[in-house]
Amino acid sequence: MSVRDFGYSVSDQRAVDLDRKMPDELERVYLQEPSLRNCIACGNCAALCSAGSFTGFQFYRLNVLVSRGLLSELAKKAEACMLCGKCQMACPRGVNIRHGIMLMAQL
Amino acid sequence: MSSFNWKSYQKEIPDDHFFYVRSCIRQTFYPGSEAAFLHILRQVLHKDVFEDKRHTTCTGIGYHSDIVPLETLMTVVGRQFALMTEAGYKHLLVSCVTSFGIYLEILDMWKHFPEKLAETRLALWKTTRREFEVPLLVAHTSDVIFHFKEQILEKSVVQLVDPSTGIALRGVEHVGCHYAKIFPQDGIGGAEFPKVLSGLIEAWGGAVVDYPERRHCCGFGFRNYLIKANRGYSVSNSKIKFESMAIYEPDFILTNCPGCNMFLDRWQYALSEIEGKTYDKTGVGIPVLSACELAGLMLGMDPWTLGLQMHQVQVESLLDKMGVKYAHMEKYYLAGKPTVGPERPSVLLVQEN
Amino acid sequence: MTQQKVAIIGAGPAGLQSAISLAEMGFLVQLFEKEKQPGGHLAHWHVLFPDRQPANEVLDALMISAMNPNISLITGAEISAIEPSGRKWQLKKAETLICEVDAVLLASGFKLFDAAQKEEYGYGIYPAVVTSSELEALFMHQKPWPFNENLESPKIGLVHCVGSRDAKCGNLYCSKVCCVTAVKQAIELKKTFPAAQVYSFYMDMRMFGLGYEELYHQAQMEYRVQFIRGRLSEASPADGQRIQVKAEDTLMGRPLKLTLDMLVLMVGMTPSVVLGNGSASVELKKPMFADGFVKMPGQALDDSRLQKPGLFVAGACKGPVTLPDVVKDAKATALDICNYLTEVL
Repeated sequence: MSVRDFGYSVSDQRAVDLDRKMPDELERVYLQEPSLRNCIACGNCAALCSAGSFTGFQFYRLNVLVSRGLLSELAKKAEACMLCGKCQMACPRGVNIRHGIMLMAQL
Repeated sequence: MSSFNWKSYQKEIPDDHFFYVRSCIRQTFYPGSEAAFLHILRQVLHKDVFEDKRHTTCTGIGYHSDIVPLETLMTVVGRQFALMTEAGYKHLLVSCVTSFGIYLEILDMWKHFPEKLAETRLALWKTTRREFEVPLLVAHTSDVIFHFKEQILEKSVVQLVDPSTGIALRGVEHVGCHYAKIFPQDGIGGAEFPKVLSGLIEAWGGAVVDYPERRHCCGFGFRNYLIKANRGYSVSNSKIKFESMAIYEPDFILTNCPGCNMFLDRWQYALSEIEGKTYDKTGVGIPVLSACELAGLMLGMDPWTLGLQMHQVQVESLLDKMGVKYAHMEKYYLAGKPTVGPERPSVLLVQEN
Repeated sequence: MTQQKVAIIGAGPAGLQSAISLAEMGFLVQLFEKEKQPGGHLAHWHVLFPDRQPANEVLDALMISAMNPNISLITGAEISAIEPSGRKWQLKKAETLICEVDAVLLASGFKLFDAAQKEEYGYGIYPAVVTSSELEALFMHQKPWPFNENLESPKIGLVHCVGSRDAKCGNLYCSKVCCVTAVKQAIELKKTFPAAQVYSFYMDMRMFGLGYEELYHQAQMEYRVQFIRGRLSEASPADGQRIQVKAEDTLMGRPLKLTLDMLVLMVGMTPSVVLGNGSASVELKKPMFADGFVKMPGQALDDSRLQKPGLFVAGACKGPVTLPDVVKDAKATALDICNYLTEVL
């Protein structure tokens, strides 16, 4: 195979490919914390997040990454959480966010 | 794939008396395609096609790349119309899809902003002392080929059928974005289910392959190609198309836009060099033909007179499937004398005869 | 004293319920239906949101009550104009006089949005693209599934807002019932194909009614329906009869691609009739692009009377509405008609 440098390169698509199989690790996250499916991405969790005041940490977005099967993009993001639990008090759908975060941090 | 609602997008295509404007890309990179079209219209179909050698580029590529201002573009368009008016023609026949979009856009703009038309008339008068009428009808070369597809079929010597097996050849079509995505009502079949090329393939015996990324842009994207730093976007978009069509194993790609023709052709080479990959099984690539070139082949024109050797993806695989006769040794003749052919690409195969 | 007569145009839920109420009040009702069968869209529905009550149960109950000697049902009868005749009204089909009555109730309901207008979804071209109404027929086994039923895990997408909230279609309004219908249909799909992967493409989840949000919750938790916030941009053919769809996942801020075995378009409600106001008569005309529903002059406190005394409107021809609300509206309008007829006597 030849690799010629023309001064430009071919990029991968940005599109999320939902035809790919859901990674087993993420299936397990749901199995261990089913309430994650209950999120409606209202943003309540992120608006009052201690970590989110200083970083780009938004729990509901991590949860979307889980539901779209994007394991590699999830890596290490959950570690930004300060585990204060304020989000869980605010969540209108009763998602067990703290447990979710712990599971995501272990991926 | 037959569709019922393409018929709601019908446009009036003139039968005769065309004022022809050329395409920058087509005449530079595929000059035989343009010559073949004029030959078919004049010598085969006996139509009156007038061309004024003083006509220029429409400046559309410059306009879409933020180099040519709108006022300049409108005045250049006005000048083309002036040449048409002076020659006594009312039907503008446009070779290029970018130009086609430009003419339609300017005409539509003048309809909504008559003061822009007045400004253009004034600017053209001041600079060239010319006056113009707007065309009665604007047609693209592919519209006209579609319009005369039955006559071309009647006179054809080969069709989109493998004569040894009787199997219809599989074609994917790529309609240029500016053919109907800006003004769907001005394209045969509209923008979602364009018929202008698929209708040709069907009428000429082939099978149309509908594939997921059929409506995706070829990747030209004007400044995305012209600026080297952005060129990766262009080639990556073409790759989306090739990947999407490859599983259907098409025998050819049919285009109506010179730009698309160029990018779908050249980028197969670039991708093969960068990634070491071709999108057909045999490694020769998927031949890309314009509607004009395909019509030329159907009518028995010599592939080397048609200039098909100017394509990056060599067309012999398709010629053989169609049963087109050609002399391999004459491929790189110039004025009847042999010349040295181009350098071989390192991945894309060139068929040896 | 002769019994006063009311003509009702349309024998869907609104027409049937008003006929029942008026007949019980002692009026003579002539109920006109342009189709061969009464029932309107209800006759083609499988189960109803939010409790999944079988639609035929509701229709049968209405039909039994409508077997009242005061009601005569005339099917296959399309009315084209309502004309005044003294204090009475005449119903006409073209130039032919059909009947003369003391009051007229328009209950002609809604039409489903013609999904072929959204060309980018390929409805009518790709067999795997069906409407929400056709999905109801599939649930009732009235036609075969457009994919192999033995597939281990068919992938099915539902698109909200097809023909609603869409200026390109001439319909700026929300059709109201499609969101909860999509949730209901997603659940029904999972019940039919338990291993199916069901995706719902929405802009907003408008769960306005009691029990709707709960149903949405159930769809997420129990049936694992994936809700993706982003309107579907394009459907194109993939291998076999499958469909490749593209949408922006607006929560991710990224485009998304997916290949489906079936795509369901949640078609909205569009007007079935437009009232042409001649000097004295009212013509019933076919709606054109962006025509909108029958506009009522009375607003909040009176939305059953047209400005011409004796002409009333009930149900979905005034705008998107749920079945229970149609039934309530029909009962209330029957009372308004009764009051009017008592006054004019």
